[in-house]
Amino acid sequence: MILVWIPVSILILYVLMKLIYKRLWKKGLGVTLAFEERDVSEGDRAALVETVVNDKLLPLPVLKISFKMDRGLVIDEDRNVSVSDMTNVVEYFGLFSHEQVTRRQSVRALKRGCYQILSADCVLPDFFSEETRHTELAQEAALLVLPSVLHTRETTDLSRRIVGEILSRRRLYQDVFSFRGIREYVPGDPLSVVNWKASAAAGTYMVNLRDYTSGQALRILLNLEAPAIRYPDDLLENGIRLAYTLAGEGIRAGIPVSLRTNGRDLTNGQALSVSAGSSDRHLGALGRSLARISLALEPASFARLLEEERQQPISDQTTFCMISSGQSDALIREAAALSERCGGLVWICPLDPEVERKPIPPGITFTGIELSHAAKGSLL
Amino acid sequence: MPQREASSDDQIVRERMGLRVIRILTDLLVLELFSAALGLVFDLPAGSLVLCGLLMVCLALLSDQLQHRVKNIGPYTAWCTGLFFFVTICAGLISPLVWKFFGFACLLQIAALYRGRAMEHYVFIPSIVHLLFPVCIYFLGVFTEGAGLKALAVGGEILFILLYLAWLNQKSLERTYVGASERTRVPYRKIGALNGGLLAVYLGLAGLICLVLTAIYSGDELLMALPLAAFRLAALVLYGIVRLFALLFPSAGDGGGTGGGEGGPMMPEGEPLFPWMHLVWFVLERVFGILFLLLLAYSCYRALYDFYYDFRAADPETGDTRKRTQTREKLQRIKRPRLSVLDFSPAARIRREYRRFLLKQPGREEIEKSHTPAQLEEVAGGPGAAGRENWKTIHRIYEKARYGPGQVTARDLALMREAIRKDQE
Repeated sequence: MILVWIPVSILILYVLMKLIYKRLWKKGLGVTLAFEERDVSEGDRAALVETVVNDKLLPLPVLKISFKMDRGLVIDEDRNVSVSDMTNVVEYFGLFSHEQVTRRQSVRALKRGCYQILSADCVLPDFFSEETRHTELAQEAALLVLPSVLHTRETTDLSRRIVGEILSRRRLYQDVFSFRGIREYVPGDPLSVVNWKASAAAGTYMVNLRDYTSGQALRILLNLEAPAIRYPDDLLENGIRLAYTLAGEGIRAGIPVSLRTNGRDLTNGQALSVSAGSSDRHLGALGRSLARISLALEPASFARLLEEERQQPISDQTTFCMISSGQSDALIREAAALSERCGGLVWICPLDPEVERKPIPPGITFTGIELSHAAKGSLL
Repeated sequence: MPQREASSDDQIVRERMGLRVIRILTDLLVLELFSAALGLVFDLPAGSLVLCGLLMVCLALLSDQLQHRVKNIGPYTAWCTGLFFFVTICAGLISPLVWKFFGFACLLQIAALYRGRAMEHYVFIPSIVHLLFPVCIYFLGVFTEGAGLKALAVGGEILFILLYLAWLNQKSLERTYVGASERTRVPYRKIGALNGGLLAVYLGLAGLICLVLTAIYSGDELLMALPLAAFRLAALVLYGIVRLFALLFPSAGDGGGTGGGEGGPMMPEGEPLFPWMHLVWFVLERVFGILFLLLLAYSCYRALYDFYYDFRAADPETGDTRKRTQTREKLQRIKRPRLSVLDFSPAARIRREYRRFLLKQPGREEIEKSHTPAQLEEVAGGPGAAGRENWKTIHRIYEKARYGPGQVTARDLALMREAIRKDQE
């Protein structure tokens, strides 16, 4: 009977369409999430680029893309976001056949860290029913948020003082085999240092600059062990910022800076150690290394770290600067031993009222500094 | 951002409007089928049928307004009572035979409205149950041997199914819109366009299948009825458009219409002043008509082309940039420079001579298009032929003409002809 065939044929068509979408909706579908910048500083903005490709004839009327990222990254258009333990972002797209859509989202980096988006969920609602189709696509988006530089008066004075002391200890003898640059002649310069070719070119007397026979270096030791129970992470973060600020000040003054910390790298779980360098690129690498420290991972023993430092060959031109809130007996003991070994140790202690203050052995230059939350807030 | 909030709310409102339209159409379809079936059974005249149809339209629209605007039970009852009397009286005026049936149908309608009011949900939602109504009409047609009733049943069945599918689709889309209502940068227009396009394709295909099945299974009775009706409707619409356009260009046979004769001198009755004007207008009418259709076709093509391929602009709703992907690179055919028959340059003549020369050789049957000149000569002339002095000259001059035609002179042509002549001796 004709009235039976009509609904049956429509049903067959419906099932056919459902099968087509079920088999083919994932074909040619690609979702790529990527940050435009490799790294930014705390408080800066970055751009998250979402690219969705439908490389087939079948159009996708509605496609819902959702992904998660750490709460330290905030999307400016927060109506697409729900925040729980992670930030859940949901985006809607409509795709014609053979179409690629690119959407840019502005994100703000609130907190230092290594932010990764490892997967994105794609959901396609059915055309006629409540059913949805789901697939998960792996992603490789990553953004490093470097620690910010502390600009308070205390930190600026402290870092300049430390760097200034290092510079003043440079030997007066110059290395005749090294070449640092050229400057104008000032009365008192010997004739032997005049660069005659440069003088002819410049039209005035120019002299060579030689490097020093021995270079001063700065080694920063950063302790990320929480000195008390329920110690705020913000204070440890301030310690990281202080280390970065100090390193930046040293590198700008031309001092090779190295860093070692008991904080663990998020990517490999190892305690972080950065060799000496004095270029801007080295500062960037140091910042990226600090960005990868995860406070969620149990740090190594700092007293043990100090002991290892003491056992390694130490140059008398290296200034050791320890940043530690903790003042445990073992730590103080090892610090004293290190100070004795290398002829002095600078200890910068971010003060916290909950941490008991203990007497500091002689030979250690102790400086307490208040790094409150307000200091961090003024930077953002 | 007030503009975005308004946009998302508008989308939800529009989507509910889409559902509302489908509800109205469902109710209208039921009432119209009922009215038409009644008219066919009682053999009402065409004018009465049309009036009954219009009455049902009023009933459907008023029922919808009642659902959405009147909430309190007192006014609701008053309006329902008024509606009942209105429908019954109008039906009685149209035809005294059928007013009881229309009154009963109106009571059923009001009962459904009350049920919806009590349950606090909308009524006249398309469902599978509605498909039984055309089945009843079909059996009535079989019982009364009325071909019109059968055709009505089949048409109603098709429309109910299409409405039901549209309803399911709109419900699915509404769920999406509700989920997206709090979000920003949702491409509502694009989603609506895509969904509407897919739905139109699907329903069109479904409708086509239904019509074809009707033609196959119904036999002579319904063979032409439905397809003819659809064709007539489409032709009517097209004719209306063309007729409207033609009104802009009055025919010269009207004897002084707005186009050319107003205010102009006229000969005595039946004799236009300028007879040749008739021919001119005749031609112009046809030309404009053809141009209009071409323009319409081109505009449709261009609109679709721009709509689909305009990926350089950013989406105005979301700011997304779009790009077309291409899965296959089209292989460009290597264009071989063809020898034009009108080319009488030395290079072209040399090539023609070469071709004639090769076609006279004994191995001409084995020549293939892919052969190089050296292979051609070896195949055509046999092994060793290419080593002869004359053949070398011919080969050299031909390659020069083939790959560097600008460097060839008439002297080269003469040399080639000389070499060919010597070889043939």
